[in-house]
Amino acid sequence: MTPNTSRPQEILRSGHAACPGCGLAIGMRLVLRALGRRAVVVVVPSCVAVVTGPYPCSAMEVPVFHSAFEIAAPTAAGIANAMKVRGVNDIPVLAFAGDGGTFDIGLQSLSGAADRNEDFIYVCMDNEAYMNTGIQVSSATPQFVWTGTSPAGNTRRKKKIMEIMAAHRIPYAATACIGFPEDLMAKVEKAKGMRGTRFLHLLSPCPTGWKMAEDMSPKATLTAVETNIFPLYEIVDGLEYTINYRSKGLPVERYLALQGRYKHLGPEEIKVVQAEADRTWADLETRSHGIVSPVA
Amino acid sequence: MSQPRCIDPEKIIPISRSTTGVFKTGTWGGHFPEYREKLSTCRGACPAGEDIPSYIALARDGDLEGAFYKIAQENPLPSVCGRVCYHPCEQDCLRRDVDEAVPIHRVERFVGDYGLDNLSFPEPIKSAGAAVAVVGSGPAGLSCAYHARRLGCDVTIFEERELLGGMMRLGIPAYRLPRAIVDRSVAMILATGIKTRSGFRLGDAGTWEELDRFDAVFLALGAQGALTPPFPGIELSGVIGGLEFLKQVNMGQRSEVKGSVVVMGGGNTAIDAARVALRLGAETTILYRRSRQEMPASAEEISDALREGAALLERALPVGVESANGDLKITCARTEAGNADESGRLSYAPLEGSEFTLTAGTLIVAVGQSVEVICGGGRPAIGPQPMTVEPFLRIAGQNYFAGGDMAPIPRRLCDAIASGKLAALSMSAMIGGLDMETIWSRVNVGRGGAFSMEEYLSGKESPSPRLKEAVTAAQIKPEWLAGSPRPEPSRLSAREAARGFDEVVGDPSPEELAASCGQCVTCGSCIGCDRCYLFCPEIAVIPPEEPGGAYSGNREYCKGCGVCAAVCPRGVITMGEGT
Amino acid sequence: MKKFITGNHSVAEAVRLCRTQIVAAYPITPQTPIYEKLAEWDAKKELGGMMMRVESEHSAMAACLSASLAGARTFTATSSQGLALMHEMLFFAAGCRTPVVMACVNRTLAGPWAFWSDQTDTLSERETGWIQIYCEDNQEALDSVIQAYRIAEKVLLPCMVIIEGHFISHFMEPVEVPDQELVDSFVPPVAIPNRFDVDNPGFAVPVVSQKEYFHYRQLMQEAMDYSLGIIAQVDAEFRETFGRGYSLVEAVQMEDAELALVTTATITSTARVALKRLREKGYKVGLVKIRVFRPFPVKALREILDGIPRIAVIDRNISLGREGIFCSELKAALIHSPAPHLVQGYVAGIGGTNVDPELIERIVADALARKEATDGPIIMTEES
Repeated sequence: MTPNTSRPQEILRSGHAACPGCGLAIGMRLVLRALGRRAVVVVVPSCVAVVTGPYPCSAMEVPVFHSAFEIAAPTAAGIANAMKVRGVNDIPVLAFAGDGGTFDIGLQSLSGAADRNEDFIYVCMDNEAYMNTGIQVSSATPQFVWTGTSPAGNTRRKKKIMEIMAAHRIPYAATACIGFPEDLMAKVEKAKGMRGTRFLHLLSPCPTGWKMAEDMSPKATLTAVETNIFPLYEIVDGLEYTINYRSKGLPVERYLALQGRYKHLGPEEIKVVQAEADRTWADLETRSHGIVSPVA
Repeated sequence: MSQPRCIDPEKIIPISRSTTGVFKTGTWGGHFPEYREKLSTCRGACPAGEDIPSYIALARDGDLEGAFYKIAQENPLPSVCGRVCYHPCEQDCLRRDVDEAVPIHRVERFVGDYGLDNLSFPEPIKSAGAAVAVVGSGPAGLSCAYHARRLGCDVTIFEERELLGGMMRLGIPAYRLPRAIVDRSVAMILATGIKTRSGFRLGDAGTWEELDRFDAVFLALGAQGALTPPFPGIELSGVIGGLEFLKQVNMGQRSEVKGSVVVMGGGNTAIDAARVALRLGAETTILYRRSRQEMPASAEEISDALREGAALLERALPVGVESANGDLKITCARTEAGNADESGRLSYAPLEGSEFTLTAGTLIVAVGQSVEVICGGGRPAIGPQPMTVEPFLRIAGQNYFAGGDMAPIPRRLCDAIASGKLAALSMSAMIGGLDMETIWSRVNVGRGGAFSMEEYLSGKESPSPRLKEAVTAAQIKPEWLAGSPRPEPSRLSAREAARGFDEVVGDPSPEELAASCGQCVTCGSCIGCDRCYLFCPEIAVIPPEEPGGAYSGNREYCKGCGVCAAVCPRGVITMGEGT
Repeated sequence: MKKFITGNHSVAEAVRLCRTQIVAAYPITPQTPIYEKLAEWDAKKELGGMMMRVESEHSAMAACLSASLAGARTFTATSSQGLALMHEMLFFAAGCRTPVVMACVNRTLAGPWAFWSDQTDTLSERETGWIQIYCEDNQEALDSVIQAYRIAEKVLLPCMVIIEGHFISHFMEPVEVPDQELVDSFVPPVAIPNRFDVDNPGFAVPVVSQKEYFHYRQLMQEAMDYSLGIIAQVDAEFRETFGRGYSLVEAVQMEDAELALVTTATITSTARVALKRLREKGYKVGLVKIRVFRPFPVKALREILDGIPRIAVIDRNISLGREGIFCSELKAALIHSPAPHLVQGYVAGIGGTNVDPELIERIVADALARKEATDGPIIMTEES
């Protein structure tokens, strides 16, 4: 039996206010664990900020700044640049933002920062809707999903944020999720060792908003990967694609069936979802030249 | 110089410096994780109660020595079992519900062979001051001798033949179980300080008296008498019993068979006889009264026989034999299914008017064995029925115990080995005046007849939970398991196989071993994978202080979400109502 | 040394001389030459520090306040639409108590579109908690930026130095650009608190309760009050070091004035010309220039204006639905005056239209002739 005797220090603390089983909280924990103590973290209005805690308590062992909703990226950039001019070069800055703060209201400032290749790690905690304020649709909400502001099912398709970030030719972009914790932490480690704008897209299930049981977050992300709805891959310099895991290619029903926000889907809609997943995988295989390799 | 508070950097913006740890979120949840190891279903199915998940995990981690000694806690014959056990463990392997069962027997074979090549059994640690006799050196006898020796007894094996091994040598052909494996396995057991007496046939003058001087005697004579169906012509030369045929070939007394061969029967003896006949160059046909699916022989053996060229006639049986020009004219009939008999199997009776004839040089009849009758003279009467024994294999009122094929247990290798182990414990308890019922409740594995000698020797007061409540399929989380095809063992081609007696199935390669071990979920046992700890959003799982210890939930912060249980692929953590 | 430069260039000189560490900016007419001049020096490695060529003014302020919280000296500049876009961030920068310095080049706000000077853009940000200094000319612009770093870093409130679009930003004047050594003696090395210490980690600017929020706002108000004294003190020191000073409020010929003409920014310099003519014509008129608008220098204005029966305020801005903002604020500041004043508000120069001495003379004539003031402002176009 392989014992685990050395564990990295946990940066996230207990006692935070996340819902029981929150996939985002698990993601934060894993990201922070890999990030380590010597770092500065930026949070913005989102579930992340709620988890980080109300005054006078903090849920993180690192210095944190609660910036405004749409400015996670320039905030991190400003802090990183300030440290540089003050001669501090070994403390990474990591910004957490939700999908709203990344795909919607924060997209402009993220684009600008990425364009300038500012030096920070940006982690989008994507629970596919505005969950902090209830459950409202965002441009990260997948097609057909129920939310409070798309109660008949979302008519839009999920924005392809990875392709958007790749179009900026940033040094590193990667998808990750808690279902593959070693892959996630390796990607944070890898990002730490680089400079410039590094982007991680973390699928972060919300049992409340996705309408699943509290213990379902890890399995939901695992199934998202195995059905090609959320493949694990990296893009380096906006050009080199590497798939990190060859999925089992399970039918999308396996993923949809886990969540109440999809339960109203009929067979035609499921076909659409399946076609999208198939196309996503085929496209990825083409771009990666069929190479599958774990995080290097 | 103190500044006015309105420009004091420490006072003008809020900076949280306390920890959220002051919020005891443990009050939120209604559930709480229970860490409880459970019995793996494979172990629950193994008559010998081998700690399968442990030895596979040790092998997986490269500790072949540890794996070997882990098996040897329960079974001194892993190289044999890895080749010829019918592996009930694999039938109950929960991985079967996910994709395919773990090829446990291949791991056992690899580890067993490693042990034969590199290791020896440890010397017994204490002396019980008792002397026991084991009569019969087949798997049951050898197992009993080995375990009795471990329990500190002075052990003597009495064997009728020159060489030890019983059915392993006499009955199982070399292409399934190489002779060298039998020789070395026996030698390894004897090297623990076991005495032997060959040429001892119980019932001969003075043999019972010789056994009287022992504190306890284990009888493992096997079931060497052949059952003979009552059809006419059974006594003709050219008609031979299956086990007799195999013995002759295995002992080198027979190297040919006359003409084509018809084998009557559907058990492993019949299949072995058929495959041996093929190797002796005979065209071979197997006749079985029931359907192929109902044949008691293992499916793999049946497939092998057919691949090697045997023909199979289902629902047919001989009803009479005549001599015809030096050959046998065998009258056969088709059968039809009737009602179930007392064993639960459908009875098949010959169909009127369905007769047909087969011509063969040899008819091998392998329809079952009986216990050979041996005169008792006040000792326990032996044969032709299996011995009547008490729950822990003692013959009532005597210091005689019985096991293996002569006892009323399934006639399979692993059951024989298990009975030998039980008898050793039972004898030791009798000699030491200990109560087997009390011992049994502690060491019994699951709900069956298996027990753990390792548990017994550990001397622990309360039984390990890993022996008791079985893990269920619902508790295994197949979604976390990487799909991997069950590695196929290398085999000789059918043509090569049927040419001689070389072992048909090849040794596992290190790659095959790794792949096989890698498929094991280690269900029910905690391997310290840390997943429960890693996935908890509240960091409320407390890992053990020492490796191998238990994980627990932190009641101060656990919100009862159940993620820890959901990510434990092994079913060790389950959620209970929290208080 | 004296240089013949625009107001924008003057601002840029001051930013460089103060060893600003991070400049984050986005171009907008009429601010762009500040950005371009700094970029030119940056390209020649003559700037020191870093430039962030951001993609919007909102991000510019976001970057500045964040860098400031991490202990860096920062600068940005903008106008009108850009300033309005920054609105949310201005509250945030002030609330986070960051000593960001910003140059605002006044420009009218759309719609419709126009590019010339009008103070409504900066005055609309009066609630944000920023210190606001309105400059009259290029020299004052340069000098006020230097003072701004001292003030902001002392009271830990952000400070905007405001110059009028085109009238200051693009007009060339002889400007004394001080030596680096002199500026170094006046503006100390950066000692801005760094809120992100990995060895003593805290969570800066979290969610607070209602009561706690009120408390921090109270501290900000106290800081604003405190900064009145600091601004005056810094100006006095500046005068000693550089030989020039501006105070919070300037009074010209007010000793025997019967009417106070209250102006700000460039209209002040035109008013100085008008004042000369009016005095020559025998009018007992004085001029009061309001330089610092936030915090509003109530005491200084009361000292000058107590006992002055007539006050005419010229606003190159308007709070639509009421009147010129300087006028409103002044009226409120005078509410406890022992003797009542006739305060007449005039709105002129909106959209950057010209305010010449003749217009000012007409305003004074009107103010002197009034029996009573109107509630709302008198709109003074070039034709009226």
